[in-house]
Amino acid sequence: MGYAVVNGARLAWQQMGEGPDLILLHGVAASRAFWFPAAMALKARFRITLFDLRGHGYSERTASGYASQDIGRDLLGLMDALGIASADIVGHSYGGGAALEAAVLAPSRVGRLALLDTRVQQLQPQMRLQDLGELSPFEIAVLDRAGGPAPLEGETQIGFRFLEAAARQKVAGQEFSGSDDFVPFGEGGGASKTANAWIRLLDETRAREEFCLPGATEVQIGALRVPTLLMYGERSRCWPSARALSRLMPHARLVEIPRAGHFFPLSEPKLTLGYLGAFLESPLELPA
Amino acid sequence: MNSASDRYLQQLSALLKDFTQDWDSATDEPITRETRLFADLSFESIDIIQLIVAIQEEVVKRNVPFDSLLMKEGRYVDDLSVGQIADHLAAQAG
Repeated sequence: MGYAVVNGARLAWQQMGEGPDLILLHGVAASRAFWFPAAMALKARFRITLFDLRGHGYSERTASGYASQDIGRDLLGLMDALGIASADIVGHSYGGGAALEAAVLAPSRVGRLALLDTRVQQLQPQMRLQDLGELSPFEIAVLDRAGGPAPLEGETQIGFRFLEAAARQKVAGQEFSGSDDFVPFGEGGGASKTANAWIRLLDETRAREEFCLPGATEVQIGALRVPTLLMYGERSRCWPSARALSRLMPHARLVEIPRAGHFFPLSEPKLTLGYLGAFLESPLELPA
Repeated sequence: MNSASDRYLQQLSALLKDFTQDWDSATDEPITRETRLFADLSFESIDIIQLIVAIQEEVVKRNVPFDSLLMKEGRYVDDLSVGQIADHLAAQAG
């Protein structure tokens, strides 16, 4: 455990286990705690590095540097700081976007790449309310409290808006309950600190705009020769990204987690670890 | 309850005061064996991870496995009392 200053940000990281290097990246509004249960399960086979993305957990909230390409550079910089020449990289959601950018920037440093329910801005630049299909009980509650769907018509980044609304409602003391699924900012009696940190990130930094900046081009993604696993929940809203990635990376294996939503690494840990473990231990053969 | 567990309880109380002092939710209530991290001290999962690292570096000064205390069937436990951690340390580290 320690801190490393990478590209001007003080990042909190920790390592556990022994074996080949494996780095797990969490998504926005989460922290390295997201991957801690999986790391516990995998540490007998890998040396695992977890870190908090800038502006999250115990890492520094900087004024800028939140585009997926910036976070990809943070990953490579942290690898430099920790003396990791190359590693297998797993990213959930936005962390997968950053992992993809790192692979494009420095393909020789990424052994295997696993993207879990990642929406790639370049391939899926918009997500509107009408694109979501059936709403979860959590989303319906957030929407009701926000005054119904009308204020969100025309919104092109609905996922981020839901997170923001949920965080503001959490800080205002409104609780979400009655759902078996993972609920953002819903854990335990706390989570208002994480909700507060998310609001400050949106209000006080350039994160809101930078989260939506496109990264690598389709040509660059298509030119990647890294063994890749794509895992998406059946009820995920990121399928346009999954399909586009599959088209650009025909060598990638695409796995669907039945009945699962965006947070399947938490809601379906055994299934997730089964697929991940098999992929990470498969022979390292570069795609043609 | 035993003397090793009580000794850890005292060390944990001091560590937790220090750990939570800058939080808006910081409380002046004394920390006891029954104090719960999530419900009483406004911990979140990331704080638990950070606390375990601090315990290993500042209290037991070595790696102590926390898996069985933190996880049940691949998921986080709902909450954890300070007494549970003290007992765990006493059992693991002596």
